[in-house]
Amino acid sequence: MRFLIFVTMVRNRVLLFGLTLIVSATFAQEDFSDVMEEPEFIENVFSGTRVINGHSTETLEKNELEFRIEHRFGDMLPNWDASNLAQSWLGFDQAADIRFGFEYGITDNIMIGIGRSKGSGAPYRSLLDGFAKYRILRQKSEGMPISLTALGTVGFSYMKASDDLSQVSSFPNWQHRFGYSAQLNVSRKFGSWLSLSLSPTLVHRNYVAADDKNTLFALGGAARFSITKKMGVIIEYFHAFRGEPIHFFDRNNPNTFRNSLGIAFEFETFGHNFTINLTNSKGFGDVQYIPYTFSDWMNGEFRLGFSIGRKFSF
Amino acid sequence: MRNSLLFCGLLLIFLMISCKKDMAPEPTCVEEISFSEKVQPMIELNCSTSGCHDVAAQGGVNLVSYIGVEANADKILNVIQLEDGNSDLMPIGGPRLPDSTIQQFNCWIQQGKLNN
Repeated sequence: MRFLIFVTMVRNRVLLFGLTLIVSATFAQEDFSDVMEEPEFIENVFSGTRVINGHSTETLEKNELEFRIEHRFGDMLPNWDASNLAQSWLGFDQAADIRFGFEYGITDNIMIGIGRSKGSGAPYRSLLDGFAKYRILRQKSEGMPISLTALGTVGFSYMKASDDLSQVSSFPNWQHRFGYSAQLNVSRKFGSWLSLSLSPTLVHRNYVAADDKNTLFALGGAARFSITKKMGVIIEYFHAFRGEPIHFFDRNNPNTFRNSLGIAFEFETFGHNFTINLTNSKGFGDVQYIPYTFSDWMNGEFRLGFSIGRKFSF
Repeated sequence: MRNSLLFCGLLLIFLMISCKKDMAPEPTCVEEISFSEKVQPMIELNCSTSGCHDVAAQGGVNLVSYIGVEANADKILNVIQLEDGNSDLMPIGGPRLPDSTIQQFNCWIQQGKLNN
């Protein structure tokens, strides 16, 4: 009798243990399925927070600090004059503009930055800039096809005021030293090798020359072609709508505004992002390169430039 | 939360007081620029100094007289308009001449490079 009771107890406990295992395994499987089904964020739609001159839809991660150095040299072959090959070493002897900046991720989707640039002198020098960027949407493998950011920037020149009152750098009021921009940036990565972005941008400058507009709408577009996981080629173009004929390839108007066009090669190493570019614009920041690009690719007025970003995590 | 609201409020106030929509006046050449009173003193002070564009005629440019200045006026304007730091900027080594002086020289050219 006692033996039968013992056998029954053992049988019940084995059954209970077996049932527990099955139930646990079932729930565990369900949990695992949940993880598998969660759509993943698409990483590196663009590999840095910048494309060439403009911003990308990427933001720094929370508590990540990036130190950026950006440089633009002089015109490579102005008027296709071959003597520049030796005389200015394809523009290396000149520095159109230089910028140092610190940028910080407040959250994974909000970042801010400040910078100081030399200024191209056309028309400003000694510039400070700041921006805030918010990633509203982030592309996922399923359910969210795009990334979307909103960007606000401000630029301020503290250069010595010109004594020629017809110059925009004469700054009759302190407010005339400011310019602003607001931008929406939408991007999508197609597969593993192509990323596209579109950037409607509004630029407002408090003080402009008599032949210019205070508020200007521009539409930017960029494409990134991945060569490997860490290397890519980028093309970026910003078209400023001034209500005038397009002067982009107009050789007969040497002093008219041009639109910014750049092509770049970028690569990443651990913690670094490098971009080597050719562009016809000189200045940094939306309030500089969108309204104040005067150089013409068709006249050999493009320059070599580079951007280096070094990230630190806290 | 309170700090965020305070920051947003301050930012809004800043944007309201720092936003303007002004235009610089068009560059005009109303007054007639006298060569002897305005252009020649500027050239003597900055260009035809000893060993430069005087009889030494650096770069083949002699600016001691009206004839030399008139013949090279466009070339002079091009090089004095360059930015500080440009290796072709004149006066050589900078600093760049004041914008008002450059504009005055530009006006003299536009008015026909008069020997007045």
